[in-house]
Amino acid sequence: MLWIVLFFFFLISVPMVSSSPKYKILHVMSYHLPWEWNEDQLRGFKDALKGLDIDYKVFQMDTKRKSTEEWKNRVGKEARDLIKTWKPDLVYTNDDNAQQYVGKYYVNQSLPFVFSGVNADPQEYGFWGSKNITGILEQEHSIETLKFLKEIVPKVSRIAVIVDDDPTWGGVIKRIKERAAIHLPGIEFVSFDAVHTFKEYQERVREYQKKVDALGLLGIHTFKDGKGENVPWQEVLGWTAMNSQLPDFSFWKDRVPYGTLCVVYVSGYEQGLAAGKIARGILAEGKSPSSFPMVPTIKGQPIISLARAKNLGVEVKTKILLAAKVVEKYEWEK
Amino acid sequence: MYFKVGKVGTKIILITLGILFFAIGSTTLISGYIFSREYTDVLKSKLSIVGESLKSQLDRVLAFGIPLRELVGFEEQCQEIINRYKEISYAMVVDKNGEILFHNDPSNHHKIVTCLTALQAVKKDKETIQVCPDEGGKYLEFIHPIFDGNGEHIGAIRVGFPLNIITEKTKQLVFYSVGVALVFFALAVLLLVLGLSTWITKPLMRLLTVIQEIREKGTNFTRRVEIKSKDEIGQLASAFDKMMEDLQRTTVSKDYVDNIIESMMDALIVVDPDGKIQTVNKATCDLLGYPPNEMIGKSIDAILPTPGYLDEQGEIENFEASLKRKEGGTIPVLLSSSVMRDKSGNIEWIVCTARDITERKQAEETLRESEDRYRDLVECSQYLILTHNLEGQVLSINHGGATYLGYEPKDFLKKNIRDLLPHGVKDEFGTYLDTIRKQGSAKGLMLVQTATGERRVWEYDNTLRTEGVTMPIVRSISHDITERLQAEKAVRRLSQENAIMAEIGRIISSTLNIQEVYGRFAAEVGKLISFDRISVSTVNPDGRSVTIAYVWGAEVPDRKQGDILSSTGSLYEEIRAKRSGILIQVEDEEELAKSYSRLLSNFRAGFRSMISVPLISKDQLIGILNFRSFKSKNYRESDLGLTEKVGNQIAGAIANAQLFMERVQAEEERTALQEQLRQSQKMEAIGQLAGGVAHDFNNLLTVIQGYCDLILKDLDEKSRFFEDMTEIHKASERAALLTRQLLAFSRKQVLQPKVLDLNKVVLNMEKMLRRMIGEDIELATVLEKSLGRVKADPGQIEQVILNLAINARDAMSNGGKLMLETSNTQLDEHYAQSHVSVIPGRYIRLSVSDTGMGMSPEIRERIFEPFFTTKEKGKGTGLGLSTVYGIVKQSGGNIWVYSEPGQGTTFKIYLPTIEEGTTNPFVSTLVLPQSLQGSETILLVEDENAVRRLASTILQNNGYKVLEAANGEEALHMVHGIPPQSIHLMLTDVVMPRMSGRQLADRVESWQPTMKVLYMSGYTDNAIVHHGVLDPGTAYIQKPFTPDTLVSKIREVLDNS
Repeated sequence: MLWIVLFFFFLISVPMVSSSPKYKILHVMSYHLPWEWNEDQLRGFKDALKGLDIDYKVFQMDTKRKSTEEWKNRVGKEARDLIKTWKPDLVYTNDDNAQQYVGKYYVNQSLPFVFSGVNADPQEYGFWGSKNITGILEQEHSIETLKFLKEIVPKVSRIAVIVDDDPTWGGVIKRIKERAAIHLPGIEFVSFDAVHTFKEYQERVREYQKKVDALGLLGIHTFKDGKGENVPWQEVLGWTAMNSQLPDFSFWKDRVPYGTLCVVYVSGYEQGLAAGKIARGILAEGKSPSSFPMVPTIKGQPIISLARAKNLGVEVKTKILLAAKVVEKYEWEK
Repeated sequence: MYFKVGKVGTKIILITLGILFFAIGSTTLISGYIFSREYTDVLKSKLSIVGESLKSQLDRVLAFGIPLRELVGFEEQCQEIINRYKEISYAMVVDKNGEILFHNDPSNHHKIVTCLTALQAVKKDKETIQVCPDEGGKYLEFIHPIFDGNGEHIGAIRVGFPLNIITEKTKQLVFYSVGVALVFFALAVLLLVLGLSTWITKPLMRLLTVIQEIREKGTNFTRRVEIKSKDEIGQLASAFDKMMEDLQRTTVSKDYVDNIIESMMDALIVVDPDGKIQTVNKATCDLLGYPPNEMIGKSIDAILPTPGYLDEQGEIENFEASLKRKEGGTIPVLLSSSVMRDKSGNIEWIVCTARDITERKQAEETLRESEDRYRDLVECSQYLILTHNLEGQVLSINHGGATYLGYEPKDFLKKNIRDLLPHGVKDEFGTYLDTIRKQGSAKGLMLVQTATGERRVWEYDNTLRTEGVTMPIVRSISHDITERLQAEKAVRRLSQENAIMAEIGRIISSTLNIQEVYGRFAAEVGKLISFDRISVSTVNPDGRSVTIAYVWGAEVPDRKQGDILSSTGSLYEEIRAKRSGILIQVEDEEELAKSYSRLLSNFRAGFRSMISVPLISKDQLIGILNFRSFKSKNYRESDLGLTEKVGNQIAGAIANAQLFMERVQAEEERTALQEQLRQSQKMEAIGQLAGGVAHDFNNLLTVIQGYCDLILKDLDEKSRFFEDMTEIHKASERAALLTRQLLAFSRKQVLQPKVLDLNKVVLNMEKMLRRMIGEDIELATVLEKSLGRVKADPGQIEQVILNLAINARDAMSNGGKLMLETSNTQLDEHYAQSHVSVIPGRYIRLSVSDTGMGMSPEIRERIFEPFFTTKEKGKGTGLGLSTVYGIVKQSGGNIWVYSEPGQGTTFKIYLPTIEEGTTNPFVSTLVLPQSLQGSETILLVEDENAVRRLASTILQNNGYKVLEAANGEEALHMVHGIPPQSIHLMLTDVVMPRMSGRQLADRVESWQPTMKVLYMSGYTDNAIVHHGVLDPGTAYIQKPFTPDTLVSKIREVLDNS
């Protein structure tokens, strides 16, 4: 009889003993929902934490639609107040504004923070060396994009890169040069041109038609017209699609509907998934945040403009169409 | 392994194999069929999946609006599918007309499908699975229709695989199945063979073998099958074994009897009534050396010792006889015979047995020889081997032992052991017998008297025997150990001597204290040789006398430790001549007196035995070691040798100790001298210091005192300053007194010595001393009558005695005795060597002793230092004894203090004796001046301005003309400027820079020959004094001086012609 009692006691007690604790995670996103980038990150983050009993709370700072400094300070304060009252076990912050107005206030405190989608140098927020904050950096998939381009147009070997006068492109160009030298020995960068006006841009594009095999269009936001007015980047790309017979590439997917041939962009899902794995290590395995290095994601998402390919006369292989996202029409054709 | 074809095992195996073959065959066929069906279904399923997958990809791409024919690279997707699913042999996209648009093998592009069945299926808009015959064989293929974005049927996807793949796979399966089955089949056969062999064939073969053996050998029923298994075969074997046991129990076979006979150890011979041998066994043949069959039929007489032996003996039992061997010779046997008769009583057989007793005979012979040897050993042994009963009666004794004791063995047998024991130990025999009775053994030593009456010590080891005898007897083995005991005793004594010698050596080396060496040496040597007195005399350095350095034991009146005896006519001379010891043992005093009269005192003290041996070190006789005993003839010649060895041992130690003592003494004297020198130097240094201070101090006091006097003379006694000035004057006087004492200590005061009788000085002071020391202290004087004379300043000597008396009084606060002694004494070279600053010669010793508290060495060492005092503050200046010291030293004497805490103190003052007649120190020869005023011219030379001004003032106040000079050069210059004889007196300081007062006087004398000189000084130096004594005719005044003293002295000098 005693055996039976003990056996049943064992059966009852096993689930009690093996059940994991419930964790509270506050997700502070810089922007808003619904938005694919944010949704992808949150989805990836949750996938990484599958199996754990987690109570999620999402705080939307909505700083894309409301970008004044006053608003940012206000929602940052609200987010910090929420941390104080709700007492999460971990805070997951997306994109830079969440770091600027929330994360940096908690450097070297006990509450763990995990971020993703951060473009800036983490040191701007004081994260380097912090014991409680780590996460995933958002850095362009330059090599993957170039490989993707070669897959679409195998003959590409000479490339010219054009940027506007935004100083941030210096860092991007430096990274491209460093990585390409290692991973793409067959690619030659003929030039990296920084131009100021739309006219200059047009001249360069025309000039390069016979000189290079492809164009890299990185900075296209600050070109000025003859009146000194800013030329919208959509217009820049539209002109390019209509006037350039060179395949071109960039690193941001919003360029593709406006004519850029191909991009391998940073995957929100991958960002969220990588951040979620760190969060899992901190919560479930008891590891220190500082034991996880702050690195970018490896996997990117390819996207191709089928309309541009048609314009260029490029026959896109079926396997590319199957593997990548496909934009069938130009934005203005929709 | 027992396995034969055609036997039971073979049959079983064959049947089993047949069954297995059938089972394997049928199983393989069935499984092949099932596999073929299932595999076909699997392939069909794969075809469906692959087709769906390709269709899905195609649909997705077509959705981008790309016409089917314009797709690029879809053949790669087909190839990828083929690579993933190896069984699929082709995948293609065809249009509705059967043209191949994409194929995993691009060489087929744009070809038209040849298979009509397939072509028909392509044109349908439904999925189809069918068999398509082709040139290479039949294919099972799946056809998926394709539709464009408008739902129009535009083509199909074909995927297929060859049907023979199913057949091949099934064949492979069957092949592998059969292969595996055969392996298992082989293993099964092997196991079957092993099992059959172990459990069936082998046991059956064993049973068969046993049965065949029994059948061939007839009545051998001892064989068993012994199969342990419990199966039917085991039960069969068990039943067989049981049956054999029954047969063995109920049947006696000839073999059985033959075996018994053959296995007999004794010879067996069966003889018929005619004496012919009918049967012999193997033992008989072996014993007599015949082959087995040769004896059959022979007459028994051929082997018997004599013909008809059996007839004569009839039935016999264990009769010793000798049987003849075939090769000749006989062999001893125990012969037995018995007669077997038939029912009629006729002899049927005679059965003889013979046992070989050759070894027994040899053993008996060996035993006999052994007994002879042992008997000889015992009988001839020098050991006493005997037996006696528990009353001590001897029962047996060996010849050698009895003879050793001087008895015939037969006579010894009449004795009781007790009879052999000498009187006095007979009673111990009872104890011995008790031990034997109780413990069964006894061992020990026994004193035995031989037939000649000689006593010998025997060592015995006896045991009691009670078993196998009618009465208890004691077995005794003993041997004479008399010589051995004597040798052991000698060895022990030698060992003891060596040990004691070693101990003496150790004692000698352990200490240099000779008295300790003597004492411990005496204790050790007493273990070797008996004595009632031991003494050591050492030869004195003069060689003519000896000192009794050590005595222990009985006293001899004129031979005590420390006595010094003349060596003339003593044993010393004889021993020195012989350089060996003397043994004297006498009973007659007269006889001793003839040879050694110096030993009579020993004889009269009761000593009858005497040994004296030399103590020789480095070939020099350094003393004599004496042993004395009251016993007559206590010593033997060997003792003399022993004591000489002892003497040699200790002589070196005595020499070393003497040398050590001399060195220690010399070292102590050297240390004492160094200490005295150090003390003397210290006192000298302190004196120099004190003298220097006193000099300057005197100048100051001269000024203070002088001006005080001058002021007091002019001051009205009623003045309010008079009393103050008087106090200043008193204080300056006290200071002057202290300064004088310091000068006395530093030996810088000016003495006016006279020839003195110290006895008179003491006697003159006696009354005063009694008053001073009080009634509690007794004063005693011991004065030598013919005391010599000393030359000293009487006042200073009085001061010495007074100070010492005061010191003694203060040391005897509770009363005591103060003793003053005078005596003549001679301080020789030896004394001088041990006392610094002492010059050998005759001295007068003045001792001042008290019975006071005494002092410690530390205080004694510093007692003469100025300002050192043990008295309470204010009760002493610390200059009393310093003054004494300075005076004695300045008087050419020495002072020593002897004191111990609680033992009083003695000061001994030595003053050199002189031969001059005495003067009365207490009769003044000075002519005091009538008037102190004068008008003469006085040259005043003083380097101290204050003193010079004071003196000038005093002199001028008294009418003198004063010429002042601050130093000698200035004075000379002044003198040379004055007419001769115009200066009447020069008052000069003695000690001045560059030119002393004496030098100045000498320089002035030629210019002013009539000028008188009066020296003044705080202390003197060699300028006018020698060792503190003024040169004759020198006028001198001590600083500080009062105005009256100065003018009085001035007047005195001027007036004395």
